[in-house]
Amino acid sequence: MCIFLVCACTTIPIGYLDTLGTAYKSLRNYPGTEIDKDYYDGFQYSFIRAQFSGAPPVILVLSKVENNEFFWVGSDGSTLTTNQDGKIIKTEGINRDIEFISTGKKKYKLNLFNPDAFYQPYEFNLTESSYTNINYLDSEILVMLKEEEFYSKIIGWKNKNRYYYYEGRPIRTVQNIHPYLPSLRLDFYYK
Amino acid sequence: MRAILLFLSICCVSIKAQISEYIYPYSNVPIISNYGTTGLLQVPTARMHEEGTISFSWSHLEPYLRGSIVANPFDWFEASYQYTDVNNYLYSTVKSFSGSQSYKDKGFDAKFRLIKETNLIPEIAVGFRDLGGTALFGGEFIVASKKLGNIDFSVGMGWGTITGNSVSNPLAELHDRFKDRNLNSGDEDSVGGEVNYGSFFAGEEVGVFAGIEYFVPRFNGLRIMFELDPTNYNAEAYKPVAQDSDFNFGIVYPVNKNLFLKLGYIRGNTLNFGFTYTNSIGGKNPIINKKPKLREIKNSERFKRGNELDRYNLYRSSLKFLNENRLYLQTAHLSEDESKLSVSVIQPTYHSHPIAIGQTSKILDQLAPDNIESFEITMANGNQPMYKVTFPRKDFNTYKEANLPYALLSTTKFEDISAAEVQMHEFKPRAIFPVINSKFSPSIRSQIGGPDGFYFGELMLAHHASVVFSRNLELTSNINLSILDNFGDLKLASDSVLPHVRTDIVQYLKESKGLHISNLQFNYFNKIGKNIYTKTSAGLFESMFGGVGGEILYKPVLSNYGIGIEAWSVKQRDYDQMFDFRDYSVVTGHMTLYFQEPRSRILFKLMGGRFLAKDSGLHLDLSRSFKSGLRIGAFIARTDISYAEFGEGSFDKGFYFSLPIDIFFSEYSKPHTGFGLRPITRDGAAFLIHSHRLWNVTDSATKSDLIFDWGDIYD
Repeated sequence: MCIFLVCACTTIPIGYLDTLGTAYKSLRNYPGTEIDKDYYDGFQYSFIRAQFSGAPPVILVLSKVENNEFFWVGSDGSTLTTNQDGKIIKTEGINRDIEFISTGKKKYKLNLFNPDAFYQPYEFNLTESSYTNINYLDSEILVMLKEEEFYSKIIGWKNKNRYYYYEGRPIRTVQNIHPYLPSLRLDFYYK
Repeated sequence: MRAILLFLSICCVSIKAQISEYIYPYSNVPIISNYGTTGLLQVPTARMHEEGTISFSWSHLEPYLRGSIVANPFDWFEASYQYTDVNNYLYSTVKSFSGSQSYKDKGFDAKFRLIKETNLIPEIAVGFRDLGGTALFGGEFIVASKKLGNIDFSVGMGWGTITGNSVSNPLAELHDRFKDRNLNSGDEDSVGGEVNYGSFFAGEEVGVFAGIEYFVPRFNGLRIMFELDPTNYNAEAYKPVAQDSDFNFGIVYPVNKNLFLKLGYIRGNTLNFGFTYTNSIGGKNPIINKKPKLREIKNSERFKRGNELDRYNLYRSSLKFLNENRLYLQTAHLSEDESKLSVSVIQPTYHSHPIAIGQTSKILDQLAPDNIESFEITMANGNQPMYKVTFPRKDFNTYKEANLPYALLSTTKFEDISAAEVQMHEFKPRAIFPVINSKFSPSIRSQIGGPDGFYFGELMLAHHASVVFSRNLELTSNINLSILDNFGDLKLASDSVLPHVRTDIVQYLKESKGLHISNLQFNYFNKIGKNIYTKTSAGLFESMFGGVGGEILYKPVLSNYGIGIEAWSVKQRDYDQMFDFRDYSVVTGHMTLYFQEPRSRILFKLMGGRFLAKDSGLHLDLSRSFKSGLRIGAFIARTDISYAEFGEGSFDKGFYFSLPIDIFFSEYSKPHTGFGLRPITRDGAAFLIHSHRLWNVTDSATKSDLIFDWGDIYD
C-alpha cells in the first residue's frame, strides 16, 4: 500500500541512534527518553519507538501495510511486523528473531531463531479488558488495557504481554517475543 | 534410503540440540566446584568453558571459604587461582604476628582437556590441584564426562588429597615411581612453592569418584547434582574434617547466563553455598555492542569538486574531517600523477587498526576527487610511522558494498615505511606543542591475604597526565591523593635475605599516605633506523624505583618477532613516594626476545638479564590475546638465587589477565585494566616497571594482527 522512506540517521536525535538489532546488548538501565510532541511533529511518517527493557530506545518507521500487517523498518534494516492488534508476528535482524505461523483463526505456531526451534506450539489467552491512564505525547490519556498470557508447551516458556489501545488502535505494547530477550516495549505513533 | 535416514537423524539431533537450549537454558555453561575448577560440588568434571572466558567463584563450605578466579586461554586449558580461608587453623601460633586470624592459603590449579566429547566418546580431562605452594589441597585427577539427554555423567580417579574412596593405584603396577607420593620436592632448601613433579599421580592409593548433573526441563535452567565424594578429609589442609557420608547433593540455579547460585549438602553434615560468575569476553564486543561513529560529510560532491581544483583544499579538508573523527592527520601527499593519495595518521581510539584504516578510507573517499585511484594510509604512533597500507579505492568501495573485507586483502599491500619517507610528504600540518592530556579518576590499591588481616585497601584520587613537548618527547605522570585507608594495622616486616626491592611493600603502603607520586617519567622516543626503535627515559618510573635508562627494540615491520635490550640505573625510592631516595641502587637490564605465534596468537616473551635485587636469570611470559583485546597470560622466573634465598614460594610465578576497558562501554577506547596474581610478593626476579614499553608501542605493526582484525575494516 503506502511506501515510506526510512528516515536517515542524521535526522534522529543522538538518543535514538542505536539500532534494534543490537540495542538489547547495550547497557542495562539506560534511562531512555519518551517521544514528545516536537519530536512527533518532526516526523513525516508513522513510526514506533521500540525499547528492550533497560536498553536504549530505537525508532522504526512504517514502510508498508499489507493484509492488516504493519511493516516497521529500522535504520539498520531490522524489521518488525505487527498485526492490527499490535502483536509482533515477525522480526528480522534482531539476532534472536521470531516468526509466528498462522494455523487458523487466532492460532499460531512459533518459529524461534538463534537457537533455532521451529514450529513450537503457542497458546494464548486474552484477559478481560480494563482501563488505565498512560502518558502519551506529553499528556495523560485513558486507554484500554488487554493482557495476554501465553504458553509454549515444549520449551516450557510462558509469560504475559500487555496491549494498550486508544480509539481502537494499539498505541503501546509490552511483549515478550523471545525466551532469551528482555521484554520489548513498542509505542505507536500514527500519522 | 539409508542416506536419507542418516540425514534425517542428523537433522533431528541438530533440531533437538537447538530446542534443548530453550528447555535447559545455559546447560552448556559449566559451573565452578568448591575447589575452584569446573566441576560439580566437590568433584571435578571434564567440562571446560569457552576460550576467552574469565570466571569468578566463591564458596562457603565449613571449615573453608574459597574464592577463585578461573581463566580459559583455550577451550582445552583452564588455569585457576584459589584463595582459601582455612578457619579451623590459625595463621600462626604467634599471636603477636597474626593475632587470631585464621590460616589463608593460595593455590594454582590447571586442567587440560585431552579428548573432546563426540557422540560416542566422552570428554576426558586431566587436572592438577593446588600446584606448588603448600599443596594443602594438592592432588591430580583424570575425569571423563558424557552427556546423555539431559544428564551429564562424570567419573574419574584422583591422587593426593582426592583419595577418600581408596583403591590401589593402578599406575603403581606400571612403575615404581608411582608407588610413593613424596610431598617434598627433595631439595634441602625447599620452602614450598616449587612444583613437585615427582609426586604427580603417585601414592599407594587412588580415589574413585562419580557425579551426575541433571538438568531439570523447563525450570529456567535449574540443575540437580549428586556425587560420590572422593576427598580424603583426613589428608587435606591441617586438620581432619568429619565426614558422615560419601555422597553429596545440591542444586544450581542460573540467575542468567553469567551468574549461577549453588546450594549443596556435603559430607552428610554440612550445608554449602556458593556462586559462579562467568563471562566469555574474548569475542568481538563481548558485553556492549558498538560501532564506530563516523560523521557523514554533507555535500561530499561539492568538496570533491573543490578539492579537484586545489590539492591543498584536499589536504585541509582531510585534516578537518579526520581530526573530527579522532584520526589525527600528520602528513598528506598527492602523487605527481594525482592517482594516489597518501596520508599518515595517529589514532588513540581503536585497538583494532583496521577499524581506523577503514574509517580513514571512508572519509578520504568522500573528499578525494574521482581521479584518485588508490589510498596509501600510514599508521603512526608518536613520531614513529609503523607501516603503510595501500589498496585501490575502487576495490575498497566494491567490497564495502558487498561487506567482503577479506576480499580486499587480495589487492592490499602492507609495507614498511621510514620516517624520512613520511617527512617527504607535501602537507605537514603544524602541531601546537605542548599537548596536555589530564584526567582525574578514583583509584584503589589493595593488599590481600597477609598475616595481619585479609584485606587492606586504600581509596585514592588519582591524577593521570601526559604532556607532549614535541613529537619525540613526553612526560607522563600519575599522582595520587589518599582519601581513606586501613593500612595502619599492617605490621608484616620483610624477612627477605635479598635486597628489599619489593618486600618493603608494607612500608610503602603505610608511609605514602597523603600525596604520593606513582609515576613521573620523561620519555624520548626515536626510530633510529629501519626497524629500530629507541626510548630514553628518566624520572620516577614506579612507586619503588626511579633513575635513568633506555630501551632499544629491533622489530622488523609487520613481522611477528622482536628483540629488545634495556638498561637502567635506578635507585630505590623513599617509602613516602615523593622525591627522596633510599641508599639502595642497582644497574639492571635485560635482553628480551618476543615472538607472536600468528595462529594461536600466543606471545612468547623471554627476558634474560639482571634483576632489581642483583640476581640474574630468566623470566618467561606466555600470553594469548583475543579479538576483544583481552589478554590472558602466565609467567615464571628463575634466577641464580636458591629457593631458600627467594623465600616462601621458592621462585617467582603467577598469572594475569588484561581487560580492555571499552568492552564495558559503548565508545571505543584503548586503555586496559590488568589483574595479576602471584602467590606471594618476594624480591627475587623482580624487574623495573616503566611505562610505554617499546614492544607495546609497536606491536600493532604486526601483520598477523592486522589480518586477524581485517574483518573490522568496514565497521
